[in-house]
Amino acid sequence: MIQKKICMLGAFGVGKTSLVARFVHSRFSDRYLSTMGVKVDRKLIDLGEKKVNMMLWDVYGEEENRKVATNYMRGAAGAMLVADGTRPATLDVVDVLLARLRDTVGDIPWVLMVNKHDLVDQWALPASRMQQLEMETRPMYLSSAKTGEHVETAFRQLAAMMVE
Amino acid sequence: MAFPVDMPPHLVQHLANMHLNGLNPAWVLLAEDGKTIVRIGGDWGAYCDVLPAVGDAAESLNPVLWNMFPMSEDFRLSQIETADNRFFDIDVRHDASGACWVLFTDVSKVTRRFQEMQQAANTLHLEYHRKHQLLDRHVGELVMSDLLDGGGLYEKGKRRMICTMFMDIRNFTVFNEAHDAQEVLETVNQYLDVMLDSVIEYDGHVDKITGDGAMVVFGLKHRAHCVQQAFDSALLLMQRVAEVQQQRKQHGRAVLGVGVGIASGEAVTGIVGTHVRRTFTAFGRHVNLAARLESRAPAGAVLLDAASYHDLDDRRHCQFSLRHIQAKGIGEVEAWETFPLQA
Ligand SMILES: Nc1nc2c(ncn2[C@@H]2O[C@H](COP(=O)(O)OP(=O)(O)O)[C@@H](O)[C@H]2O)c(=O)[nH]1
Ligand SMILES: [Mg+2]
Repeated sequence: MIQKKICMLGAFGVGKTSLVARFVHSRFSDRYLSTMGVKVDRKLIDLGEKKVNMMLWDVYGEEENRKVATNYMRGAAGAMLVADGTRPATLDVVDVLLARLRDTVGDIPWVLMVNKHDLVDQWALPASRMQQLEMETRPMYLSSAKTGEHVETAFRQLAAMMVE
Repeated sequence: MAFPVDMPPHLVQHLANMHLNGLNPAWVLLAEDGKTIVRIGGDWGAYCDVLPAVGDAAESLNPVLWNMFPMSEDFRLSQIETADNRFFDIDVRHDASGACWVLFTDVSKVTRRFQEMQQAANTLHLEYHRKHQLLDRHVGELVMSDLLDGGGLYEKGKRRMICTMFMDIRNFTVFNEAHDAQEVLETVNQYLDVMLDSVIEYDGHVDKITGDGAMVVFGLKHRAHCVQQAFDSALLLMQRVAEVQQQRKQHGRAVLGVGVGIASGEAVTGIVGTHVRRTFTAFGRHVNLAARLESRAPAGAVLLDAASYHDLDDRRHCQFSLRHIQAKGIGEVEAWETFPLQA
């Protein structure tokens, strides 16, 4: 069995903790609880010939006065970068974190989640911006930790990219 | 960090005890390979189900250390959360001889306290964002409908009759100082939600939110009867606030009142800003007057300026009393005061 460390990275409140909870425990809560340092969860993914033990590092959210320390990224084999589709500024945070991740661990596989896609009436990304993102970033998912949309798919895709 | 060399040992000891209190340190020393445990100290019961033994791999101390050893540099991971909501720090330190030590400390107490603050700040940020988005959308709709009926709201310096309403939670500063951030935040949101809902129901445009209150403009969407709309929304607001108060009383929580000031007149209105952040603004003498009246309105009271009072089509059976108010920067004005729920 292969074990891989994956970092969940993004601004605070975008849904990193919720995506892990959905994926690992199949549950969702509207209650918001700040992640302080890091919480590690595991889930085994069966890719047919290979099984991958995903070790998910749910790291605290990047903030102006509290940047995500590179120590948490050390040893990561993959990353899930998360933005909130109702807060376009969280996409800029993704860029910043991606650069820091590359500086720390080099070019590792990653996927982009534009999360909270269930909140259609609060969605703040115009179609043009999403198209542009889709072209620049592959793979990218419009996800929802609430409904489960694209959650399993994205984690499986990331697992597949890591064992390639 | 400068350490005072002449500090007496018993004081150093005292400081150390004070800071180590509750931290429950546990440590291991690693062999020259930088991977294998050769010495164990402290209380590992707090960190591991199976106590570490000499000869074990350092990474078996905790899953977060998987694949991390050997380490050539000092390293630190803070606030690692356990399944039962405790937090610990891991420090990897090399001594003068180059030997590698791994230290665990329990930081649950301080982290939980910090978490509460963080939580309040982040929730406030998210809530703030959500409210603003709502207001932005509202402005957008306003602009659209105005363009459609040729209202010319866009034109710079357009003059029109509007009615402005200020509302505010009374004694909020006192409450704020006596309660913790989370409690304050929940309370403000509970009140603001019913306050804003009441004015939006009557097509009031929320111009700005001022922490514990708001400025609302009537007469943009429908020009006729804007004073009546403002007044009716104030009545609805008072009723809903009373419901909140009732609820809070039952739960043994602090009860706060709301004061409202309303004034009307001609104002210059316009949309300022870019497509990203549009804001509507109204300037005019009566806008300041409405703010002054609100600041003089006791909890449960609605204060109207004379123009608004005389313009009302229906006073909805409210008892009014005339007050003469010294309004800062304006002078003495006539104001009509009513306590709608005491009718
Ligand atoms: N509607 C909706 N809410 C979400 C979604 N994901 C997270 N949330 C909510 O957003 C808030 C922050 O989520 P959290 O997972 O703690 O974000 P984190 O700070 O990135 O870990 C919580 O109140 C969640 O319930 C989603 O996909 N849809
Ligand atoms: Mg989190």
